[in-house]
Order: sequence, then C-alpha cells, then structure tokens
Amino acid sequence: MISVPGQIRIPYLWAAGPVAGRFLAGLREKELWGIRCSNCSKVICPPEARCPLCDGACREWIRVGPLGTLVTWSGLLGIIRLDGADTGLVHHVRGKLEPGLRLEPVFADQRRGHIQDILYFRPWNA
Amino acid sequence: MERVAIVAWAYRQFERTDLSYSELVYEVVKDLPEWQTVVSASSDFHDGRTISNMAIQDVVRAPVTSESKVSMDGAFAMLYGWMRVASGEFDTCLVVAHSKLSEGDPRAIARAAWNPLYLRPLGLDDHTVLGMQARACGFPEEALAEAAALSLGVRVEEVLASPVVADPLRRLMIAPDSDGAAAVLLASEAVARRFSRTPVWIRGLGVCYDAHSPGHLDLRESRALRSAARQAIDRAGIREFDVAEVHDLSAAQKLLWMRELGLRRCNESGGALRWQPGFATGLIRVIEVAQRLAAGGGRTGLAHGMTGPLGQAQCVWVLST
Repeated sequence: MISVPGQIRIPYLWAAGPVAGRFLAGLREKELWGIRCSNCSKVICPPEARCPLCDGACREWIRVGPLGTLVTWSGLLGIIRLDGADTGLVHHVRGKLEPGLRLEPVFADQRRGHIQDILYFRPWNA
Repeated sequence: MERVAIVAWAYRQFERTDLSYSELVYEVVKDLPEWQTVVSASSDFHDGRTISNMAIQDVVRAPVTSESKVSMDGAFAMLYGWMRVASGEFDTCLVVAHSKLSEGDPRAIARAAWNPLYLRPLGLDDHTVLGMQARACGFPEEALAEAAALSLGVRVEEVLASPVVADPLRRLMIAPDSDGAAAVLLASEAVARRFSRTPVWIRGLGVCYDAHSPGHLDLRESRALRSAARQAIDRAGIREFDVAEVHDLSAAQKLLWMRELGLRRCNESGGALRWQPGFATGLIRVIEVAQRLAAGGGRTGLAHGMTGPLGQAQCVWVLST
C-alpha cells in the first residue's frame, strides 16, 4: 500500500483584541487582571468579553492574584484559580502538587505580552 | 413537524485502515438505498485538507443532491439532518461522519484546537485535559479501572497494569485513536416503512454547549449535558431507557456522563473506550442504540454524542421503536 507523506505549516498573526490584549499586556508588567461579569458578578480570569458562566457582558477590570490555588492538574499542566477570580487559568505547574496547593507565578525576565510571560507556577511558601 | 425515523445505517471501525477516507465513507454508504440530501461531519485538521467534505462529495452523491458539512461529531450532523426531514423539505437525508486518526497526529491536532491566545502555546493536549478532568472528579482508581474493564471486556488488573498516560488515567482508561466512518439514513413517516420494517423513531433531542476553556468549566460536572438531556427527555416524554450509549473519551467521562444522565448501565458496545474514530464516534453511539432497538433488544434508548475533549458541546438523542 502507498501512503503519501505531507506537512502543513502556515504562520499566523492573531490579533488579541481589547480584552485578551489587555490581559496579555498586563503580563508584560507582571500584573494579572480578571474581568467582572455585569450579570453574575463572577470575576473571569483569563478574561473574556462575554461571561463563559452566564453569557453576561464583562466590563469591569479587577486586579487578581498573583497567588492562586491549584484546582486540578495532569502532568505539568494545571488549572489555577487566582485570588479574586472565580474561574481558572491553565498554565505550567512545578513542584510537589496536591489539590488546594497555594501557588505563585514565576515571570520571564523578557516579557512581550504573551501567555508565556509567565514561565510556570510554583508552590508558594509564606 | 414531520416525525423522523432512522431506517438504515452502517459503520466501520479500525485501529488503522489503508482505505483512503473517501473510500472509507463509500464503505458505509454503498449499501444504503437512496437519499435526497446529505449532512456530513468531518474535521479539516484530521483530514489534513480544508473543506474536508470536498473529498467525499462524489461518494455521497452530493453532485446530484445537496450536501453540507458540520465540523463537529456526527451526532450533531444528525441534528441538521433531522431538521431537513422534520421541516418537510426532504423525505430522506443521509448523515455521514468520518475520521482517520491514524493519518495525522491526534495530540498535535488537539494542542492546536485551543484558543491561540491563552491555551495553544502551553502545549495542552486532549489526554492532558482528560487527566485534569478525571482528577477533578475524584473517582477512585478502582472505579475507573472497573468502568474501563467492563467496556473493554478485560480484567480490572489488566487496566491497572497499563501505564499511566495522563495522570491519573492509565492507557486502558483513555479512548484509543481509531479510524472509522458511520452513516445513518433518516426518513419521514410518509416513506419510513419503504426502507425498514422496524424504523427507530427519533422521539427527542437536545443540544447544549458549555465554555471552551478547561479553566472556565467546572470539570466535576457537565451542566451542558444535563441541559441537553433535559431537552431530549422532556420532548420525548421517555425517562427509562432499555439501551444507552455514551461518548466516553475516558473511564472518568463514562462515570461522569452516566451520573449526569442518571444511567445505571450503558455501552454494551464498549463505547468510545473500545473504538474512538474521531467525529464518527458519537454517530456510532446513535447507531449502536438504533440497531439494538431494531433487533428487539429493547423499546427505548438514549444515545449521547459530544464534541471537544471535555464535552464542551453535548448532544442527546432519545429513540424508540
């Protein structure tokens, strides 16, 4: 049987838009921002223009984190609920993990307004 | 609104097949009698070409009828096929779905399917989010192993001996990558008995979506599945099911979907834990229920299909003889 190999490689440049763009610009300044839903009042982080919980309009920017709580994980990726937020951020996690663990972000030295301006989250020791 | 029946079907599942995907689709449609219109389901990412339905239009006779594609599981394509017949516009509709996970790189495709601003750069694949969901649900490992063993027809010890792929999930607790295609012929009440002595009637259906991002979902539950089920069950007025099939990408999902649907047993076929041919998987759940009902294995059935590794889009069908 014959199989024909191939690969598709296409570069893109995605506009982040005003909501994700503001979040990503915040990372450049080592700031974490959520956005409050005008309908259910939940703070969504990472922020979305429409609330993923109730579809309300999200308008009010709220500073969240920098510490957060580990919700769940698999391998080296976890979901972190930042302090002050009601939803979770997916990111790299390091260290000995357990549910409810308190985590802090480790930022890159060179930041460019990108989700990987955070290198990973690690256990926080008070 | 016209009553709609499932009157014929076919499916094929493989670990891997050397058939091209249009030949694979031909295999499941060639023995079906006739149709006036087509709704297909396939993934450009999995097929490796844009507008992936172009490659199957000849084998589904689209050049002389009409065809539309849904880039979701075939169980959702059936929603649009049902609308075409229920509206009275068409008497028959072919619903067909295919995926060949052997041809691309399913993990790389899963990593590329997420939001490119927040998630894609992190390298989050489908197995990883299944692991996150399983851990959030907190099912004991023994319960996960039992659920998988029952679907696969193997001993619990064998499941527990398989390697951890996405902690806490082991290889036999995760649906395997498969190749496959499925086809269903829908017919209006006026013509249904022309094609089948035992038509299986669509009594209720429900569809509901949840958020896209794993962080925005409550992974311990599925409000979308509960809503879809409520819609389907209320429309049908049927609450007890002799046969049920759920679209389970992991042993944890099997247990979670059963809990949300109130099922005590399901997936006599083995479910998606046995074969998981991408966008054909949910439509095969519908077929498994329909063929058991048509063969006299029960009077009422529930079939569940979903799209998104966490079931971000949920679809429920209630069927009866």
